[in-house]
Amino acid sequence: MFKVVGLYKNFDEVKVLKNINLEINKGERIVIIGPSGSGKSTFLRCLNGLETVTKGKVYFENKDISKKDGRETLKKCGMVFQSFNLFENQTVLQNITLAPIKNKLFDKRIAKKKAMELLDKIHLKEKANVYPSDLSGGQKQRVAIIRALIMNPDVLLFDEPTSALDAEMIEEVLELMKEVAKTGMTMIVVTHELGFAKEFATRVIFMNEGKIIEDGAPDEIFNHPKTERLQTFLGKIKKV
Amino acid sequence: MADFLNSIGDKFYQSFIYDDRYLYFLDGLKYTIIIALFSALLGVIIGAIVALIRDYNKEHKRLLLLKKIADIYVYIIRGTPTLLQLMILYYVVFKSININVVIVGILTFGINSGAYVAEIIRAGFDSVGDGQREAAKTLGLSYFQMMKSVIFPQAIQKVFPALGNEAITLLKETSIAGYIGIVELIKASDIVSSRTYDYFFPLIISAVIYLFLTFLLSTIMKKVERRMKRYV
Repeated sequence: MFKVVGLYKNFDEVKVLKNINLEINKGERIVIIGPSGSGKSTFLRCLNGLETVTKGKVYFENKDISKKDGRETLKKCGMVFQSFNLFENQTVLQNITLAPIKNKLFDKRIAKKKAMELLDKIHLKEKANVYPSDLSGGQKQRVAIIRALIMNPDVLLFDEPTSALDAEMIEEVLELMKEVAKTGMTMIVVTHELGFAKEFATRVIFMNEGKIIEDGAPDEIFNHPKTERLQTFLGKIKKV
Repeated sequence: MADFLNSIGDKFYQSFIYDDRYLYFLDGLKYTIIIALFSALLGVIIGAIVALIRDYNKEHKRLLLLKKIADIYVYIIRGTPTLLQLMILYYVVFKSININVVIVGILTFGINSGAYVAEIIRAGFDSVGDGQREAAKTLGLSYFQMMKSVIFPQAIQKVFPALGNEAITLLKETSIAGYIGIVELIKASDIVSSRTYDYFFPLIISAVIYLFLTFLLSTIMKKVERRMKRYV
């Protein structure tokens, strides 16, 4: 699904990603972990072209995303952000239906119907006509998730989806992500929720200083870390 | 005291009533309003286009030539006096073309205001933040779909008070149109003064009309602003 070859990313003088090579297959649920500043989020944003890469290539469904047809296929790659990024001037319902209507995925009536069904599933049907400013953080993030889902994506990227949430709201978002996972959706998640990563992921990637240090099944990563760097990272987290 | 009041009454009569001189003020008011209205409209259109060109360039690194032109335009307009721009347009650009002087006025003030409006709208775009742009992008919206449905409405709402200020500034600035022979309010009061040799009433009458216009304008702006504030 994704193929990353020799990826480098610099912000001016700062080298954020250093030679990332990776293949991601359909149906995988990948969780990327690592200390702050290790390049996890930047890597995720390189996958869907939100950051232009300094060197190297990213292929999505075998198409180079720096080319026009590659960018076109990226419509099948949804994203959920740390700060939700709902459209503040649009109601919850409009937030969800705007993109499918503009992209001519469905007509207005069907888009509305689908949006209401999705809202019903996350128990926010009665919030359809309010503005995002009237929602809690957890509600915002759940709306953001179904806004991405209604586009029928082949893969969903999550950039620290619970980091901006109060503790009591983290669970509702993680639960929804697990629900989505049940549909077989390919998902790539950057998160600090290691407990969630353990039970959710089919594959865990540990990044440090712009490189992939370890890449394996959750059991390998969490119970048998090979590198000292990962051991220290997990040790630090456990102590907290 | 009675003499004093009498003389005041007489001066007012001379400045305003006698020989239907109020018609000068009415006519002046008409041109002030026409020029202010149409140049404000032109200014908003130019300002929005310039702001969009710059924003598009920032996001897609394209339209470089247009962006440079837009930058130079804003730089020149903000760096020179409006009066000079008015005179250049009238005495140089349209020198040999037979064109209604009011249109020259509208063009000048519209082009002038456009530069300021462009800066205001740019500030509005910046105030929306990149998050919603990124969300729009990942949802497959095109640049123009995103601007139209998401960024522009929020930007305009955020900078609406600044746009109102610009409208008031523009309204007052049209008073220099008399320099190229447009009989707007100030010029009208000038004409009346030259007949009566009295400056007091003609100037005070103009001032009162301007105050009334700006009061009206800011009241309307406030009403519209309140109506827009529904989602914050």
